[in-house]
Amino acid sequence: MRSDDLRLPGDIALLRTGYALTAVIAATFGAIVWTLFDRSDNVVTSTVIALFGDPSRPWDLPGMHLLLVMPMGACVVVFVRSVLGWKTFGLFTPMLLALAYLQSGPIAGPVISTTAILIGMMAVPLLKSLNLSRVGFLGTLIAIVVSALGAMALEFRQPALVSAFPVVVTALIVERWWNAFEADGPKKAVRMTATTLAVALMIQGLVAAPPVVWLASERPLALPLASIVLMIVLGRYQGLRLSELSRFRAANHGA
Amino acid sequence: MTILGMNRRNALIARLNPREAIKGVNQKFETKERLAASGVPVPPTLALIASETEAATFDYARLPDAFAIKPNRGRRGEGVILVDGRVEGGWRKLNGEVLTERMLRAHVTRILAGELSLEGGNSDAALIEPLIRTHPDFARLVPFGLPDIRIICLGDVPLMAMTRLPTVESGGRANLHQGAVGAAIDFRDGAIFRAVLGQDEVFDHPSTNAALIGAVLPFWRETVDAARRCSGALGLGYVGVDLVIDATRGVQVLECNAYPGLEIQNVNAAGLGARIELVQRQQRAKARKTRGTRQAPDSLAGLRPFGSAGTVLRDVGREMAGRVAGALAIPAPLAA
Ligand SMILES: Nc1ncnc2c1ncn2[C@@H]1O[C@H](COP(=O)(O)OP(=O)(O)O)[C@@H](O)[C@H]1O
Ligand SMILES: [Mg+2]
Repeated sequence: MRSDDLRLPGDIALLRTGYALTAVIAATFGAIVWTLFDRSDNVVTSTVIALFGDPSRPWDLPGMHLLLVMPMGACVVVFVRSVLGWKTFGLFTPMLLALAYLQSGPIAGPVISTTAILIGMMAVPLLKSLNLSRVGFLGTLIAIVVSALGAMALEFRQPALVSAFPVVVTALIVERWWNAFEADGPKKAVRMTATTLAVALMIQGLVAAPPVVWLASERPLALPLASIVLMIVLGRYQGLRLSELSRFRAANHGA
Repeated sequence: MTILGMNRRNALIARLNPREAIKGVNQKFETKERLAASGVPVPPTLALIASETEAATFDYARLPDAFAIKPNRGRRGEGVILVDGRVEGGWRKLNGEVLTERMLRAHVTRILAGELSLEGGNSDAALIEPLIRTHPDFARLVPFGLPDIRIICLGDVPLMAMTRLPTVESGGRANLHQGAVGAAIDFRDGAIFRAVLGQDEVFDHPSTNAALIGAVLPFWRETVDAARRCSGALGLGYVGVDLVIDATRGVQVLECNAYPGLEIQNVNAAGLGARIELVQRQQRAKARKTRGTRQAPDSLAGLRPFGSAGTVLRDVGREMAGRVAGALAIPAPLAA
């Protein structure tokens, strides 16, 4: 890799594209949040509904489904950690987050929990300056995230959108984020947050896919049993992780 | 496979490093005692303050002019204060700041409360040692700070070595992630044969411009000897030993790591996996031979120090020789 101080034209173009992309994503995200909580008819909300459908629609999965696909989510986490080598918060946080998504809906889930994470991230420096104990800190954080989301839900008369489980999972992520931020710096913390969210999205997409839903209703035990076998196989994998191929490039060069 | 990845390293550690031994190395004082009992040179202990009552009666005025204080179960250098001389009303820290006795007492209180210790601890002890000053032959390479040496050992067989040289950018810390230079060391003579800063190969120290390639570390034989004893002393089958070279006391083991990092492979441009396999093959062959005459359980072969360490070392050395020559050949055209 090149040193950081070398800025080539290609780098600059890449950087600009990155900024533009970030701006577009942020705008879309904001519009979806707006639509979720404000159901009145205006340009923003009708555009969002035209593009994504009703963002507050639920998944509509049977209650049993959530339980049956949990091992599958765990399986994805094992794969991501020991074969891909991606770093996520906690062990099974992405799985919990994906379950939270399943409870709130395909768009509402990720958007609301990300909003909650952002609120929590802003609250953390403030809380840290109060020198609270670890439990006191976490408790207050949960309360702040709940209040902020609750206020939004009540203000726009959408109380059904905010349920307890996603919010608690979110507060846990914010706490982990802060630990990572303090230990490894902002860059790594942001990257781990993004990876955690991405893996959660992957799990959501996988476990709510029509074939999986069909299998869960027709052969309820097939999914957990297959996951067990797969996790045992993955758990014994001792080869290099995908991320290590680039990490150990220098070592490989000489060897 | 020649590179050792996280997955295989973790499996190796799960097999070779018992839980108790892993917990043991998190306690610096107890680790030093164990190492000293096996003849490993470690920094002397000036005091171990283990409770508030001890702290209240401790006579700080009797501390020497230069010392280091750290949490017994610290990590990542957190809570380490280095003191280098006396000033009016206290001491002068290595970074120039003043440390009054009140500040020192407050620091001890924080350490005792476990605030600076490994996660999950709510009490700890404060360890006070004389300040280590780097041997001049070593110190001339770096601007300031304490360079250290990391040697990875499988049992009593040293597998790979590097030295971490602080830079101005790393703030004097010997941490590769914070911008220190990592330099690979040839086991045969203690000479640096490759150096990296971040992802880039370097030939001189970025802060001092001292030529690194070919620089020979002082007391290399003693350094390797000390590292080789640590595994047996601590019950760790796979261990990363951190050593420093003190100007007056010579080689000292500062810390032993039950989960040593893998970055050393990038510094050496070589994999640990191949060397581990080589050593384990030789151990198995050796165990088979002794079984012919005497009954020797195979399962222990991975842990026990064994007589043929020298042969293995020589083999590893020979395997590396070609690469070393290659690394040395690179600066030659630059010089010409
Ligand atoms: N006695 C000492 N003299 C000088 N520096 C020291 C001494 N003890 C520790 N240090 C410095 O503090 C750093 C961290 O100390 P160490 O014992 O390795 O604890 P940790 O487990 O926190 O890494 C070392 O890398 C070294 O630079
Ligand atoms: Mg250390």
